[in-house]
Amino acid sequence: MNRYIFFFVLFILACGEPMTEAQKLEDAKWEAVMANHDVVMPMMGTTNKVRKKLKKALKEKENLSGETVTKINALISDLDKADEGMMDWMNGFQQLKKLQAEKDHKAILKYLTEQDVIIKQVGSDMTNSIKAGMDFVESLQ
Amino acid sequence: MEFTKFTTMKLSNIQSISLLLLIGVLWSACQEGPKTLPILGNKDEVNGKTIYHEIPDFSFVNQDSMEVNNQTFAGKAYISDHFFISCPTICPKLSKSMLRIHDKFKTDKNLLLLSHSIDTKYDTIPRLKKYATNLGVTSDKWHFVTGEKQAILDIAEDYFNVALEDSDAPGGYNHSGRLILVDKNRRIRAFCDGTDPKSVDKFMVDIQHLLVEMETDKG
Repeated sequence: MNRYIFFFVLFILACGEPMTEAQKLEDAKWEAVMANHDVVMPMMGTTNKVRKKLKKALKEKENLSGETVTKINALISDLDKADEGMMDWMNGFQQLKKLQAEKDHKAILKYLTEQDVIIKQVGSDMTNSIKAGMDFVESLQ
Repeated sequence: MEFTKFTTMKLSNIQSISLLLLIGVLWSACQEGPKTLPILGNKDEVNGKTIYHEIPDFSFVNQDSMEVNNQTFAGKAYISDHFFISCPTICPKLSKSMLRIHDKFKTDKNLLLLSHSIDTKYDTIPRLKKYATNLGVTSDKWHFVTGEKQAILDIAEDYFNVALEDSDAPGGYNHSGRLILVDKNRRIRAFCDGTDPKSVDKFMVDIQHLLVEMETDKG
């Protein structure tokens, strides 16, 4: 009988503790934030492409008005800020394990909800700056 | 009766031999001999000669504050990727794949690794050094570089565009999981999805083929 109890305990230890409902919820919230991050991250390549097109227009288009030059520089600045927003967010974003070690369940969910809002805003800033940049490049054709 | 028994035995032997022969043929067919990797990317025909796309000149700084440029890789093949330390999803998988490659080809002096950080604001030289140290790697084999942001982004496009069939494909960094194999002539010879272990398995076979090709060229 003791042998069976021993192997049962060993089995449980090997499998690890099952996740609590709270942990499952935190995991799901984390995954949702990461999913939004994964949507935004590829946009960084597009911001670079649009930035290059705008810089090329500055360099190659002759007789651009002062107003146009100012507009192009502003659009480039918006693209730079959008990229920086993404990097700032990622560098500030805490990993789930660290959160679970330091905060309680309620605080973790609050944090992840806030971060989800922020990453969506970062995505929105990127989308808007890309569109504005591309629209302006096309208008110069 | 005796004849039937004899015939049955003979047929059974013929079947066994046929099966063995078939296995032998299939086994031989499955063995990959030396293979020449294609040269990937755009190419031009100039005066009857094919000019292949080459990775342009670059100059960055690595985790030991040393300049890393094309000369660093003279006569060698290298694996290139783009990442940043704070990236929570794709990049850890990428680093894991690069580490696999590093460990497998650690003693092969003809292969180096080059990881570019696209987060030039936060991935400072000390931070890159710490990252490399935590992975247990040194710059004689694996360079982690930073530099002028636009230069790093531009060369990323150069590597990735060659790896794409459609260079106008949107996103750019939806291909940030790519690992690129560059030969000693700065030409791209293979690439893989660094987040997919099976893709990396095949890529490591490609690396081996290139290294064999390099040894053959020396001879």
